[in-house]
Amino acid sequence: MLDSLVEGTLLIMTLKGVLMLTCGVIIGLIFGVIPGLGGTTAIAIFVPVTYGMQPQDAMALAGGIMGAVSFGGSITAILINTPGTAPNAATCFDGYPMARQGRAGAAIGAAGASSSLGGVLGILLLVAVIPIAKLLVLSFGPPEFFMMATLGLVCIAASTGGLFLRGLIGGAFGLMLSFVGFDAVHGGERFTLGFDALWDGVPLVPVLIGLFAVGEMINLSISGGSVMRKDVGTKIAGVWEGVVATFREWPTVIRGSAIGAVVGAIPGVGGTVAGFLAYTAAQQMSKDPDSFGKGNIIGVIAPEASNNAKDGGHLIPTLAFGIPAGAEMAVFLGLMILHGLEPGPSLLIEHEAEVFSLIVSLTISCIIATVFGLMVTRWLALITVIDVHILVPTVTVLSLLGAWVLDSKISDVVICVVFGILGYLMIKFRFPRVTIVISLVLGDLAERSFYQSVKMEDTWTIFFTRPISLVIFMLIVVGLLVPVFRYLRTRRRDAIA
Amino acid sequence: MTNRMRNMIVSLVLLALAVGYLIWSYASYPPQSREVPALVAWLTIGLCLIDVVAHTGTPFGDRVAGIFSGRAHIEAEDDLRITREEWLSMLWMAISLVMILLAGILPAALLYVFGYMTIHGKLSLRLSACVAIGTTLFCWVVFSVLLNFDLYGGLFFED
Repeated sequence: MLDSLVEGTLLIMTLKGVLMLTCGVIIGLIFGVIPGLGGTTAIAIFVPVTYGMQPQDAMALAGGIMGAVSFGGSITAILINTPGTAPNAATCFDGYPMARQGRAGAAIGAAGASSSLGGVLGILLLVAVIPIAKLLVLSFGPPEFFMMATLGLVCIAASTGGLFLRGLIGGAFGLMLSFVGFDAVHGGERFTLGFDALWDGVPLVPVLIGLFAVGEMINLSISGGSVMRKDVGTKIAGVWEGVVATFREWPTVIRGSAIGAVVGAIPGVGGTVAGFLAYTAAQQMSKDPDSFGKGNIIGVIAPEASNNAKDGGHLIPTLAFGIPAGAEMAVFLGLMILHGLEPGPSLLIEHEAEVFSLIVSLTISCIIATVFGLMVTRWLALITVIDVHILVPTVTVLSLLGAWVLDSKISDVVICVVFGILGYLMIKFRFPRVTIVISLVLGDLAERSFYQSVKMEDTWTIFFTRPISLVIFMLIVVGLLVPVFRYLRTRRRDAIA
Repeated sequence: MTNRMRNMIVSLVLLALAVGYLIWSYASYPPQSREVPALVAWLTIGLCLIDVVAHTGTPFGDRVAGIFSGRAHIEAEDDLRITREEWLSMLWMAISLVMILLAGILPAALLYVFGYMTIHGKLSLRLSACVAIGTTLFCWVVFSVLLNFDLYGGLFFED
C-alpha cells in the first residue's frame, strides 16, 4: 500500500499533473461559488475535456474540482445565504448571521480551515477503510437504507430548531414530489399531470437553485440595501481568527469529519445529510445550543468539516464496488470508465497507483483550495456590500442559466422560477426549505428500499428484526422526541424561574 | 386578518393539497404503485392536522405548538401580510421567466437586468446598461463560447 501511495504521489507531481490539479481547484472554486452549478455540473462539463489525457491527469483535474467545490460553495452560503452547492446549506444557518454581524471574514476563515482539515481527515479515513470497505457497505441492506433515509429526514427536521413540525411537513411534501415521474419499481408514470418533462421526476438541481438562490434573491429584492447591514461597516476582517477558532474547536472538526466520512460512505445519503447531521450533533453537544443559528462559529466549522470529509467516504463505495454514492460520484464514475478504469474490487488491485493519485490530488486540492480561496476572500466578500438591485438580477440570470445548462431543458427554468417563488413563501411563512430538498433526494431510495425490504420477508417487521435497522429506528425515535425533551426542559426552567 | 388566521389558511391549504394527493393516488394508480405515496399522504394529512390545531389559538393548540417547536412560549411572528413590494419582487421573477421563454436566454438576460435595475432599483441608466451588458457578455463567453452550450433561443427566435 505504501508503494502505491508513493507511486500515486509521483504520478501527480509532474508539471502537467500539478497544472491540472490547480485548474481543477480554480474551476471547483468558481463552480462552487455560483449557486446551483456545483461539482456535478463542473465534472460533467469537463469530462469531455479530459479525453486524450493520461488517467492520472484526469484524476488530478477531477480531484481538484471535488476538493475545491465545497469551500467555494461555503463562500456564497456565508455571504449571501445562498449555498453554492447543496451540502453547504447547513453552513447558512450560522455563516450568514456571522456575515450580517460583520464577521464574514472569520466565518470564511473557519469554513476554509475546517474544509481543509475535514477533507484531509476524510481521505485518511478512506485510506484506512479501503481494506474493510466491502464489509462496511455490505452490512447495509434495504431495511437499513430505508431507515437511514428516514433518520436523515428526521434529523434535518429536528435541526430546524422551533420549526420541527413545519420541517416535517415540508419533508413530507418533498417525498410526495419525489414520487413524480416514472415508477421504476412497478413501471408507468405517476403524478406527472401529463407533462413529458416530469417523466424523469422533479429535477433536483433546478429545485435546489429555485428554493435557495432564486428564493433568496426575491427576499433580498424586498429587503433592499446591501446584503450586509449598513451599521456593521464594509470591512471584511478576521479571516485568521476563523482559522485559529477551527484549530481550537478540534473536537468539532474530528466529529464533523467522522460524520461526513461515515455518512458519505452510504450511497444516496450524501453531503447535505452529512452537513446537517454534523450541525445537529454540534448543536446537541454544545453548552449553548440556543446560540446556534445566530452566528455561532461552531455552526460553520461542523458542517464544513463534514462536507469535505464526505468526499473520502463517497469514494469508498464508488471505487470499491462501482456504486456511486451521489450524483457527483455518478459523473465521476463516467470519467473513470472513459479512462479505462473500471470501478470495482479489481480497480484496487490493478490500478492502485491511479487510485492513490486521486487520493493524493484530493488531499492537495483541499489545502490549495483553502489557501487560494482565503487569498481571494476579501474580493469575494465585496459581494456583500453591493447594492442588492445589482446583485439580484445578475445572480438571478446566472441561477436560471445554471438551471438550464444541466439538461438544456426550458422546463427546468420554469421549475426553477416556480420553486423560487415557493422558496420565498416558505421563508415568509417559516417553513424550512431544506427538508423538501432532502426528501426529494432520498424519496427514491426510501421507496425502493421499502419495497425491497417488504419483499424480502413479506412483512413490515423486517425493519425491527435486523440489529442495524433496529438501532437506526431507535435513533429515529430519539430524533422525533428531541422537541418534546426541549419543551419539557424549557417548561421546567420557566417553572423554577 | 391576524397572523394566526394567515397561518391557519396556509395549514388548511397544505391539508387540502395532501388530501388531494391522497385521492389522486387512490383514484389513479394500482395498489402496489400507490402504496408508499398513499402512506406518505396519510402521514402528511396527520402532520397538517396537527399544524391546524397548533394555530387555533386555544390553550390546547398552544401546548401542541409548544411541544412541536420545543419551546414553552410561542414567539411573536413578523407581519405575514404579503406587501406590494413582495408581490412586485415575485412579479419580476415571473417577468424574467416570460422573457426567457419568449426572447431566449441571452436577450432576456440583457433586458431583465437592465429593466430590473432601472425600473425596480431606480439606478442610473448608464450603470444599468453597463451591468446588463457585462452580465450578458459573461454568460455568452462562459457558457456559449468556452463551454459550447447551445443556449435556448426563445419562442421568437428558436428554429
